[in-house]
Amino acid sequence: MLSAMVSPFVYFSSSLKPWQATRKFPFLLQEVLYPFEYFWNQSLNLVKGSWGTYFYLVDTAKENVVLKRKLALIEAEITDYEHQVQENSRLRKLLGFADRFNKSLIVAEIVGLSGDSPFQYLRINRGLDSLLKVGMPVLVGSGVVGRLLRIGSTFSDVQLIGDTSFNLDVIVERNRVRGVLKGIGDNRCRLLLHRHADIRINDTVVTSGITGSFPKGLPVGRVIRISYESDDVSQIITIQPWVDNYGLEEVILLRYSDPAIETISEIGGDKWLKDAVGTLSAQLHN
Amino acid sequence: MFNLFISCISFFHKKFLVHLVPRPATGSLALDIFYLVILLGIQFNVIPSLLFFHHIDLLTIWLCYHFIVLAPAPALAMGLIAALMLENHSTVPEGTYICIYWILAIVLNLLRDHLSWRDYSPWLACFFIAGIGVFLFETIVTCVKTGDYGYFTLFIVAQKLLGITLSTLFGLALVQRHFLASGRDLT
Repeated sequence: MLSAMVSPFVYFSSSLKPWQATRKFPFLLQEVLYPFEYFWNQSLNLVKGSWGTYFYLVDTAKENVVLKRKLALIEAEITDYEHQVQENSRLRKLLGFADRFNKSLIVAEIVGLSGDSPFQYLRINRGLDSLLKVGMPVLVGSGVVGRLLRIGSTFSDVQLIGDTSFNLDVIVERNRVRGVLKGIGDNRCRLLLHRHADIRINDTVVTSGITGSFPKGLPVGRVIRISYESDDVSQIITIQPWVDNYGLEEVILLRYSDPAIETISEIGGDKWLKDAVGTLSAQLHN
Repeated sequence: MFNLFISCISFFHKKFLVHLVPRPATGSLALDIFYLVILLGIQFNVIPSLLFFHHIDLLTIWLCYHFIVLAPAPALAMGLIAALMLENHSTVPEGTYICIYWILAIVLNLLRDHLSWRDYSPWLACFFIAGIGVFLFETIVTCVKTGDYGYFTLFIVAQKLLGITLSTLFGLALVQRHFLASGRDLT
């Protein structure tokens, strides 16, 4: 009996990673489930939309006046920014900077969300038909949401930034201190830095763009707590992401391609690159 | 006109909707898997939208019922399929639910001939302990990944216990309707 109970642990992944899109059969069952999820989500949105549009209009008029005023101010700011963008572009050309990356954006609607456990993810209504790739960054206007984890035929799963398997290379915007952000559940993240790194509450953390598929400068979150390890060497920074997962209805997927990775992939091929990364990881573990 | 509308709804309900309500251990593996998919949809979509994004673990209770009522081979097949569906609908590490449901299936299969399932108390104990077991396993996996216990505050634990209690009540209702009331026996 004991051997029967212990035997599945042999299969239990020692790297503790979630299922990836390459395992076809287990993910196929999600293709059956997805139409139910989509139907329920659309029905719920219809009810919410009808209530908000036709019945609950108490504060709509007041909000309309406030928003019109804000819009006028923003239009004036945009005109100013357009001038600055043109000036920036001219200066970059003068100094010989090439475009760092080409990017295009894909908007996706959220169909499902699991946010109340240490394993946090979203399901969106874009899949292989939208030419997505595993690892693509997922954002909204206020910051990073997560990373594309699995892709189905018409839907995909996004690993949220608070998930315990999520890692991201980040820097503190104020003093450019670099570290690896890890999700710790409950929509919180953690950064482990040297004790003497100058970190303050409310410091903003952004993506570093050095490794991975996230371009530089995307807002991630702010520091809400600093504590110190008993070893007296490191400090634990708790980060609150800018994005509130429960309020999301749509997200943006970024087709970001790192030029260095693209060049290596073109010369050596995707298989060679994967093998090289696998060999390097194995050597680092040893 | 109103009567015609009501009779159309009633016909539609009797002909189609009643078959969409999940029933456990129907005797057909394909139908059981179909109801498993519907239950997963209810667990991950319907209940969170009614309970402000918190979900109740109905699948563990559903599987416990199958592990007790069905013969070992079809019960294990159901458990494997349910575990694969759960793992691909979540970001848990590969093999988490395969392990826990395998252990649950083995233990229940060994215990089922030694308990009287004609009473509520073994079912109550079984469902509650299974729910606690799944929660503890997830806890261990989370703590290994994050390296500390900081995630598990009193609020989180209380929330999980409430969820386990509600799923146990669901299990008792399931047992009352499909096992005790129908007078069926273990296969």
